[in-house]
Formats: sequence, structure tokens, C-alpha cells
Amino acid sequence: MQLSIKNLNKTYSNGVQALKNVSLDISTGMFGLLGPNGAGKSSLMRTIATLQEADSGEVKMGNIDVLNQKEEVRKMLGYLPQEFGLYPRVSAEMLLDHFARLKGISNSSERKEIVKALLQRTNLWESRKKNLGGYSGGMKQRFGIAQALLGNPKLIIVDEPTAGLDPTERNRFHNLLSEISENIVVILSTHIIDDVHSLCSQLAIISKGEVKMTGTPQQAVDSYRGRIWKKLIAKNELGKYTHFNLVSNRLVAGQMEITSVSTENPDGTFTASEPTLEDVYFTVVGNSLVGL
Amino acid sequence: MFLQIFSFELYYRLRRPTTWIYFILLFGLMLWMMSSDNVTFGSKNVYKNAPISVTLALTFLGAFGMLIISAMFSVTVQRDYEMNIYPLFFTTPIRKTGYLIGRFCATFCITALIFTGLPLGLYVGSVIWPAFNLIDATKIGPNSFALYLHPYLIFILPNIFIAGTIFFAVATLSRKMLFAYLANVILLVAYLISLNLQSDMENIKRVALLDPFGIGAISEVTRYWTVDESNILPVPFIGTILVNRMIWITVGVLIFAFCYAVFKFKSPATTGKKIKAIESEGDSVSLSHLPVTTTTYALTDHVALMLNGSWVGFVNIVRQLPFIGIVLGGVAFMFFAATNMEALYGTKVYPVTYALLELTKGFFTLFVFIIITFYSGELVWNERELKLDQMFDTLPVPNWIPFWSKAFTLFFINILLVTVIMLTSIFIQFLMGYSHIELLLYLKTLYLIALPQYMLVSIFALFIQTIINNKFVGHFAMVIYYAVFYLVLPLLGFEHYLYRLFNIPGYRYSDMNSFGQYLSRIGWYQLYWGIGAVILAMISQLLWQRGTNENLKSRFALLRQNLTGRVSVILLVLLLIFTGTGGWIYYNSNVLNKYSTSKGDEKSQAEYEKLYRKFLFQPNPKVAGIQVKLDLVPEELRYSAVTLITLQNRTSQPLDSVFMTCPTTLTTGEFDDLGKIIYNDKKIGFRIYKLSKPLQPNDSIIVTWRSSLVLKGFPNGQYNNTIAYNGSFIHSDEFVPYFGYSQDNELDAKDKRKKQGLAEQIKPSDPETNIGREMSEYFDDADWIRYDCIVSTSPNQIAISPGYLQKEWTENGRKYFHYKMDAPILNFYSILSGEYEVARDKYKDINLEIYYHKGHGYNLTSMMDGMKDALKYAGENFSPYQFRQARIIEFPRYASFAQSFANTVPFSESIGFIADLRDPEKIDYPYYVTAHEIGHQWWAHQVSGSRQKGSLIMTESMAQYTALMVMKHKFGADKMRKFLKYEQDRYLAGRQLDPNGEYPLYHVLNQQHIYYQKASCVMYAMQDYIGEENFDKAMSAFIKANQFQRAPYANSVDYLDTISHYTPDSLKYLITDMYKTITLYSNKCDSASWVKTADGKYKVTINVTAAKFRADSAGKETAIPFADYIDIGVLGKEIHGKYTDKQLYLQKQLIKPGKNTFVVIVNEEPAKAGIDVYNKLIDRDTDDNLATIVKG
Repeated sequence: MQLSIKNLNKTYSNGVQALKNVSLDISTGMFGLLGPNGAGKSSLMRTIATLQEADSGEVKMGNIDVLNQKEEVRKMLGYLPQEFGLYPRVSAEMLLDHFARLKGISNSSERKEIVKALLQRTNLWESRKKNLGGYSGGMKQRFGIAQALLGNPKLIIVDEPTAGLDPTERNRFHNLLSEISENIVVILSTHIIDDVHSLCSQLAIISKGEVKMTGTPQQAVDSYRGRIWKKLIAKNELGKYTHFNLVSNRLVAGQMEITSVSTENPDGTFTASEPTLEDVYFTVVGNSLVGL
Repeated sequence: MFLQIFSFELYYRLRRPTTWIYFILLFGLMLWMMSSDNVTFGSKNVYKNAPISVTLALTFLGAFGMLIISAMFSVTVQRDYEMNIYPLFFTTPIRKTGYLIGRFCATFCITALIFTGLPLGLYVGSVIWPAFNLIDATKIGPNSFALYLHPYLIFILPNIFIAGTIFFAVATLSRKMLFAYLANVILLVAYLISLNLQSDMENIKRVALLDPFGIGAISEVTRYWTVDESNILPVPFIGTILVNRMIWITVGVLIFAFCYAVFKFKSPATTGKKIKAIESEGDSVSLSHLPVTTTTYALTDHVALMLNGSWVGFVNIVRQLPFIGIVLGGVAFMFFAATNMEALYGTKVYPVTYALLELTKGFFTLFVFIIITFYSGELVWNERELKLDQMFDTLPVPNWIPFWSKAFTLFFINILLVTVIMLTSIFIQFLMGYSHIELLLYLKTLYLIALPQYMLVSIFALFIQTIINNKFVGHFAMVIYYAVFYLVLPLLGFEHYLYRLFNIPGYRYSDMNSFGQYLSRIGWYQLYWGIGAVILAMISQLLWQRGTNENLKSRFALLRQNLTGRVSVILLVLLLIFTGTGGWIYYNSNVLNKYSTSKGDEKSQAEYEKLYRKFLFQPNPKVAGIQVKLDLVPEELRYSAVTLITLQNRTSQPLDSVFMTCPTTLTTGEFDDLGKIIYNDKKIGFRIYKLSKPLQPNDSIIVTWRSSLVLKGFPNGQYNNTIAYNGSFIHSDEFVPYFGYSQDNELDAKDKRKKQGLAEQIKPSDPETNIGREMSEYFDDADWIRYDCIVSTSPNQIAISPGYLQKEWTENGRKYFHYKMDAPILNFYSILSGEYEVARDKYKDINLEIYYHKGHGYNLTSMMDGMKDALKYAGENFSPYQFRQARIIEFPRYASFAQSFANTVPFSESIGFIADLRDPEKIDYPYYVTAHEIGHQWWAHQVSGSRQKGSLIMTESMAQYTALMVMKHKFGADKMRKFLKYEQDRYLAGRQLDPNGEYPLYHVLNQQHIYYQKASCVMYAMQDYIGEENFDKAMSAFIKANQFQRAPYANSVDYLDTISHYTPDSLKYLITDMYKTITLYSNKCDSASWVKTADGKYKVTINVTAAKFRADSAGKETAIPFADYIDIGVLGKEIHGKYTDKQLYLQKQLIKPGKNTFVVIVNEEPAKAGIDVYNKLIDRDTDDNLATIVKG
């Protein structure tokens, strides 16, 4: 099944246009949605997740009109919001069971089985009887993915799941995500570029409500092959290079590495560089120079 | 730092819209209140801006605004936790002092600002409404803003501080809003308890301190204020009020100090222990091979889901401490209220099941509503507050599941609550040694009547929370809903339950008549509002906040999406059924029955007066005999009657027409043979008949009046309960016309007359004149009549009417009774019928009977004794009893009075049959009421005066005197003090509420606090001064002179002349003081001391101050000179109880204005001494009459 988004628009009452004519075609597999804070990722995901009305446009999941047939979408949806809480005085097992019921798994033995399986596989089985109030951030996220997987969803939406997790938890979480079947659509929004690189088969970069680029990570990188130039400079020299179409700068061992996009070596002192997704991201998202 | 935090908080709060919403709400409410004639605080007889009215309005609404205080203060610090911003504050160099005090002070300032809406609203109203002529300018007294500022400063500001510290501390320390709700309830309970305790006079001063809002203290201090005083005096900041304020401000300071000391300026420890996750990396079965599950979305699944969700929510709430606290608060209050269930004069009633249930109707319903209000908010906001909403909202469940699961959570809570009510009540009954538990009655009342009402309100509360989308504003909206639909609308004359949202009309349960006619109305309204609730529930589902749509526009977009064809059809069908049910109700209440509002009733009363008062002196025949044949079918709620009325021409002219006022409640009512009807006002019931041939002077005719009453359907307001399945009580004026214009039907309250465009009422004339002497006080269409009555009723009932039973038989399956009176009686009779037990006794050759409901036999001895003692006392001291029989007949508690007909006293089941007299210290009021009613057999049934001012003194006051004397002889003079204290209190408190202004006793009009309560004090004092025997001689002489008289009738001047005749000259001033003027004393014992004399006795020196005042009708007092005889007394140590101090010395001494000193010798060690020690004189502060004696 494929998710296709056509000309989606949304403007909030404070005047911010969160989505501008967004059109995307998302096929099965992990789809990464990259963009800076406030780019419209969450707005887009909430709209797909039936949580928010759009002003105009169309979203289709297979034959289902997502914006109007919400009930149908919800039957095949798994959603992990960017930020969420859990009943503090309820155990993981109970709450997951509750969610399972709500997802429509009415057969109690099936429910028991899936709850057990999910808790085991998200490594929460040992602490399943504990109240959720005592869960760490990573455990909460894993619980979140467990509930999103209930009821064999066809569409899973995961909104910035690894924000705030320590590296171990983040890894663990990536492992979980990567195991999710390839027959379903998984949309992962993040601003951590590495996440997309390691997990996603496709991606889109959006910024200020617009889709700036789509494709596979490899395609994205390939399209910039030969155009990325880098140079190490002293920190106070940045001013001298601003006319070289710089897209990013960062500190490397006390020096500054600047990146320029250009068909040729900007002034001959740059070094050609194999493009990374990060370079693509910065290029697409626009000028993100720090410290000017 | 303080300043920084303070000003930031101030700035933050000022920008919050809720701050201004609250302000506008309070301001608007007060503005409106000033314009309304119907909603007033305190007496209606004072200016709308009288200081006391302003103070009461401010304090009451201040208490009502507790929710605002709670919403403001609870979130002050709690907000930081909720928004997880607290680490940012706690890690800055600010200190706890600056943080806590800064936040608190800023919140206090903002809340104080919000509450300026109260005085401002009133003030602006008092200025603009008269200017626009919207209220009568004469209702506004001297005006200045200071008048409104004064109560704001001494009540509102401290109350904000007190309640604020409590909410602040509770929320800050517990970090949970729910605990703040609990604090709300605790404050309310403190207030209600103080309110409730005040009904016992002994407690008034003490409990005035207990009320955190100071309202109790205000009413204590101003309890006896007259109209005049209320209009000018500001509520003083002294005495109880001062102490109350000091106590509670101290409490506030202590709470704040405690909060400050305990508050830790660091992160809260997380609720549970962090779990050390046991990570077994080996177990890495792929998520891609999860067990396959089947999903179903059948309706049954959804219902199961909904119930499961609601049960989880219920269990979750019930386990929370604050919930348990609120419920326990309610239970505690029930205990308190039940054990203080008073009927009269501080005497409690037995905890019968309906009485306990009635308590819950009032008090516990309040708790249930509070719980519904708070928890509907909690439930609707639960997921959003826990940030679980986005997960839940994407689940494949329809909107009705979250809504109804929340509704069912509330339903489960409601069920739990009514069960708690039942168990608590049963426990209370056992505790009070009462074992007649009516389980079925509990189940019916609680689960079939109370529970549906709670469920309806629950749905409405969820609806409000869904629509308003702000929890606290939602709470406040609910409070407004309760206030408007339960209290204000009826006051404004909007009385129909069809539009009083989710308000099911009440009922009155009677042990005798059970639920009577009430159940069908309750059932229909349950259906009506039940459908209404389902409609609102559907609207809530359509507008359910699902997802993250931020504004109303997108929610309405959702509504359009949710409003599918099927939903619209269901809604439409429901609306149709709703309208249909409403139509049926309308048919019952407005077509089958007359829809009347108190305003409408006032209007037709006014119309009656405007149109027909001109016939007041119209010559008309008088009733000379009545022969009733009434067939009562109680099981079908109907009767028909044929009454033969003997009309006699007592004028000196021939009469060619008959004027009458017919009862409008009858289904039919026609004369067979009274000539031609020439005028018939069906609405008001006024008719004029033209006789076929004129009735010559002294001639009489017998005419036949056929009437019937069939009760159908149900009304909106009061039921006609004269016919009851068990316990019918049909009064003569309900089925027989009054011949002439009846002044008793006139509207008498001044303000109401004004509104109806009536001039000031023409009062009965002064007894010094002869105008009105020809008319009888009570039933001027007759004087003394012959009476005969045949009544039939259902076979298992006994029917009773005045007279002696001649015959009793069964015919056509009906039971017949024939009563006949052989002595003349007043034109005043009634017919009662019920399933009775009969208790019989005899006093001399007078048969005594009590007809009572089975199980209500508790106080038969008291009542029998009351009859015997009163018959004996009056028979021996006034004149012989004119009948050979006296009967008491119980009737259902639709009214709570006893009424004396000839040899027959209907007696409400609520005023004595269930009084708990097991404690001999308590006042035996069944005995007292019985004695009073038997007294009426002389004072009304032998002598009744002219229709002039003051005539009630010969009937009501004298019946009261008879009861007082009978009681004095039975219980002793000591115990009378307690009774008289209640009487004096009710007299003094009644003065400012009297719309007519006060008259001296001998000019008394229809003013209970004067002809009963003041008369009790006055009569008791009179017999004390001139001697009981002497007083009775006067009464005996008076009765002999005026017994069974016809016009002209005796009046209060004749009465006073007789007393005067038996009063020594030295005491004649008493007649002026007590009867002819309004006289009050201010007596005080300044100090008293004793020394032992050589012969072992005690020499007591008593210093007293005395003053005497005359008051005008508004209570304006003028000091007058005097030289009066007043009791000087010395009391020994209390022997038992508070009313039985041992009397060591008591003598009337001549007292002059100002300071007086007396020295007396007593034999025992004295404890207290003073002036007017038994409170025989009227004195607004009797507490200072006695002083504790110190050893000199």
C-alpha cells in the first residue's frame, strides 16, 4: 500500500503556514522526514495521523481518503507522538492490554499473546508489572513503539522518537525500528540526520512547510557528488569566505571546517569531499552558518 | 529578587484572559443583582444598598467565588510542575523566600483585583439603574463607594487571603490539583456546619467563629437589627466579627508559614522508584514476525471497551486520596446533620428513613454536584494532561467511546455515592437507636430518583467541559449553571421545569401517603431530560476534542465531518422524541392543570382586589347551616360533594342577590337553585347570583351547591394534595364558596403590591374606632353555624369531620360516616380520611382520640397529656369546654401545621408525631402544640374578635398563653426559660423581615413573630407580674362577656380593658409597655460580688445598669425615662443542665434608668447574679443580664 499526499496546505490561526502545497509519495518501508525544528514535520505527521485538519489537499492511503475516512485510517495506523505521557499508576502490561483492546483486538488470548510478544521484544517484559510512572525515557519510548505496533498496522508514524535518548537507548530504538516489517509504511520524522541515513529507504527534506527534496538517501547523496568542497580555516577567518556559497560550518578540533557547494573548487584551496547526507541537508534547508 | 518574581507573575496573570473573564463575571453578576428585585441578600425591607445587604451580597458571592480563589492560587506554583519548568527556576540563584512570597503576593493582588468586581458591580448598579429608572430610586439609600469598600476590606480581602493560603499550600505541597478540590470541600463543610449549628441558639456565638467566610459572624452580630438600623449602620468590625477575622487570618498565616517551612526548593522525587531495567540483549526476536492478530470493530466490542475504560477510570479515581477525602467530608457532614436534625425548639426528630433521605437531597446532593463538577473536568482533561491524547486519538475507536466511558465513570461514581448515602444513613439510624429501616424506600429514592438526576447532571457537566475547553472556566460555568437553573430562574418567575435544564422537579415523601402523586411527574421528566442528555452527549461527541486542532473553527469542521447522514437522522429522531415528551409534559402541566407562577398568582390576587374590593361592604346573606354529603374516592384522587347551605338575611333590608368567591381549584361547582347567575368571573372565581325572589330580613333559604374535584395528570408546581391516597385533608374553603369578598385573598407584601400597581393595602382599622366592629375576624360570611356531614370513603379508611359520629356503615363497597355537631361552630370545617390507628382516652367525660398513622405512635402520651392538661386548665380557669370530645388527626406532611377545628385538630405528621422526646431536657413540643390547639377551642371557637387590628391577640396569642401555662405547670417555670428564649429570639429576628413594619401587640396584623412569639414573652411576663390567678380571672371574665357573640364583636381594646381592670395601678404601665407600644430594655449586670457575713450567710452586692426604649415601626429607638419593677436575682451553682440554676433570691425591685445597686443576703454560696435573670422582658442582649459573682 502506498501513501500519497497531494497539495496539502495548513495555516495556523497565528498566521504561520505550516504546510505549503506538500506533495509526497511514500511507499512501503521506512520513510525519513528530515527538517529543522518548526519545518512542519509534526504538522504533516499529525495530519496523516488523523489528529489535525488540513485546510486543503488530499492524503490517500491506498484507496482510503485519510482526511475524511479517519476511522478507516485509524484501523491500520500505529502512531508514536513526539511527546507523550503515560498513566503513572498503571502497569505497562495493563496499559498495553488496554491499548490492544482499543485497537480492536478483542480476542483475549490473541491479545495476551501480542502483548507478551511486544513487551518481550521491546525488553519491557521484566518490568511489565511496574507502574509506568517509574519508567525511564528509553523505556517509555520502547513502550510507545510497542503500542504503535499493536494490531498489525499498515502505517506507522514515529515522530522524533530518539530525541532525548542516550546513545545506548537510541541504538536500541533503532534496532527495534529496523525490524519492523518492510511491507508497511513507516514514517519517521527526525532532525537527526544519521538516523535517517541508517534506517530509511527513502527520505524527504522539508523546510518552512515545503518539501525541498525527496528520494532515497543514496540518491540524495549522489546528486551532490562532486559539488561538495570543504576547508579547515581559523575560527576568525569565516568572514573572508562568506561569498563562497557556504552551506555549513562546524568546529573540528578547534578549527573551523566550512562546506561550500559548487561545481568547482571555489578558490582552489578547498578540498573535494564525498557528500554526506548532512551536507545535502544543509544545502537543501538553506544557509545555516553559525557564528556570523 | 522578590520584586522580579512578583512583577513577572503580575504581568503574566494580567495577560491571562481568565483573569478578566473572572472579573467580568463577578462584576456582571453584581450589576445584575443590583437590578433584580427578586435576588436580594438579607431583608427585603431595607435599601438595596443598605450596608448589611451589601455586606451579605459580597460575602456570599465571595464564598461562591471560592472556586476562583482556588483556581488562582492552586496553580501559582503547581503550574511550574505541570509545565515541567520548575528545574529552570530551582537552578537559578533565586531563593525560596522570593519565589514563594513573590508568587503568592502577586496572585493575591490579582485575585484581589478580580474580586473588586463585586463592590464595583454593586456600586455601578446602584448608580446607573436608578438613573435609567430600571429600579425604584427609593430603594437606594445614601450612597457612596466607601459603603461598598468597607465590606470588601474587612471580609473579601481576608477571605481571599485565608482561602488563598489554604489552596496555595495544598497545591504547592501536594503538586496535585485534586487536593485543592479537597480543600474546597473542607472549606465548604466548615461553612455548612457553622450554618447548620446556628439553628440551635446555644451555639450561635460559638459557631460564628467557625465560619471561615465570616458570614456566620455577620448574622450573629446583626441578628436583631431592625430595618432602621440595617439601613444606616455599617457592619461593625468589632466583637464576634473581629474575633472571627483575627482567628482566620491567623490560621491563614500559620498555613502559609507551614507551607513555607515544608516547601523544598528542589526537584520533586519521582513518584515511583526508578526501575532498573533488566536488559537481556539476547532476546532479539524480530519485530517483523509478531503474532498476527485479528481486529474486530463490532458494536459489542465497542460497548465492552467503553465499559472497560469507564471501570478503569472509576477505579483510578476511587483510589485517589482526594476523592476519598471529599466523600468522607460528605459522610462526616451527613453524620453531623443527621444527629442535629431538628424539628422545633431544639428538639430533634427520630431518624426516620425519609427524613435522612431528605437531608441527602439537600446537603449530599451538593457534594455529589461538587464531585461531578470537578471530576468531569478531570476526566475530560485526563489524557491531555498526561499527554496521552495523541496516542488515544489515533486509535480506531469512535468518538462515543471516550465520551461515554467518561460518562460511565461518572455514573459509577454516582452509584458509589448513593450507596455510600444509603449505608451511612442506615448506620446513623442504628447509631441513634432506631431500627425501622425501610430498605425499599432507600432503593427507590436513591437509585430511581436521586441517581438519574445525578447522571443527567454528569452528562451535562461533560458536555460543558467538552464545549468550553478550559477546565477551570468549565468548573465555573457549572457553578453558574447550578445557580441559574436551580435558584435564580424560579426567582425571576421562570418556573417551568421544561426549560430548567436537567432539573427534575421535586417531591415530598410522606410516611402516610408514600410518594403520593409525585412519581409520574418524576418519571416523565426523567425521560424528557434523559433524551435531552443523549442529545447533548451526541453533540459532545461531534465536537469532541480529538487530535490537536487548536481553534473552534477546525472543531466545527470536525463536526461537519462527524455529522454523517445516519447521525443526523438519529439526532433528528431524538429531537422529535424530546419534543414529543416535552409536549406531553406541557399537556399535563399547562392543559390538564393550571400553570401558575408565583408572579401570575400575585397578578390574579391583585386583579381580585382591583375588581371586587368594592363589594367588601356589600350586604349579603350569611351562612347559618351546612350539611355536607361528600363522596371521596381517594384511590382515584377525586371527590364529589353536595352541600346544603342555609343562607340567612341578617340585614334589615331585603336582599335580591348573592355575592361569592368560589374556589378556582374545583373541577365543577354549581348551584342547583340559587336563582340566576348574572356575573361569573371564571378565572378569579367571583360570581353574583340574582335570587328568584328577594330574601327578606331574618328569612333563610337552603340552597344546594354541587362541587367536584378530579385530579388529572401532573402540574408544574405544587400538587393539589388535598386528596391523597392515604391522608386526604379537605378544608371547607376548598369546596364551598366564601359568601362575599374575602380580604384574606389580598396581596399583603408591600413590594409585591407596588409591582402589581396596587396602592398601599387598606389595613383593618384600629380597635380604638368602631369601623370593622361589625365584621368577624375570621369568617365574616357567617358567625355560628349548624353542622352536619356525611362522608364516604374507601373501605379501609376512616373519614373524620367535626361533630360526633352518629352512624358508620358500608354501602356499595364504600364506607360511610355521619357526623353531626350539636353546638354552634364557626363556619370552618374540614374532612379527613386515611388508614388510621386510633388511640382513645378520657378526661372526665370528654372522649379523647388520636387518629395516627401506624408506626407514628411515639408521642401519643405527650399529645394525650397535652389535651387533658389543656382541657383541664382552660376548663377550670376560663370557661367550660363546649364539646364532649376532642380529637387529633394526623395528616401527611404536605403542610406542617396543626389547625383547630371544632372538637377536631388535624395535626401534620411532621410536627410532633416523630419528635424524639427520649431526652427529658428537650422541649416537648408535641405537648406544646397540642395544648395550643386545644387552647383554640376557647380562643377562637368560643371567642373571636372583630375584623380590626389586634384581634389575633384574643385567638392566637391566647391559645399560646394557654399552652404556656399548661407547660409551666407540667415542666416547671425553670424549663420555660429555654422555651421563652427561643420565642424572644424569633420575635427579635423576625422584626427586620416583616414587610409591614412592626405594630404594637394590640394592633397586630398577620404577623406571626408578634402574635405568637412576642405574645409568648408578653403574656408570660404579664402573668408573672400580676399573678397567674389574677390574669386568668381577667380572661375568664372576658370570655364570659364575649362568648359565642355575634356582631358587634369584641376587640383588643376591650381585651386590654379587662386586663387593666385586674391590674394594680402600680403595674398599669405594663399594659402600655407590653401591649400598646414597642418597648425594649437594655438591662445589664455590671458586676456582682459577695462577702460572708458573721452569721455564715452571704451578702451579695449587685450593680446593674438599665435602660428602656420605645421603638417605632421601623425599629428606630428612643430612650425613655422609667421607674419599673424588674427582677433582681441571685442564682446558685448549676444543679443539672443549663436551664436549672438553683434560685437563691428573686425579687422585683424598682429600677431607675442608669446604674442601680442592690445588696441582698442569701443562704448559700452564690454563683451568678443579675437583673431580669429569667429574661422576662424584651432585651436584645440577654447574655449580659447575668454576671458571675466574685468573692469580694
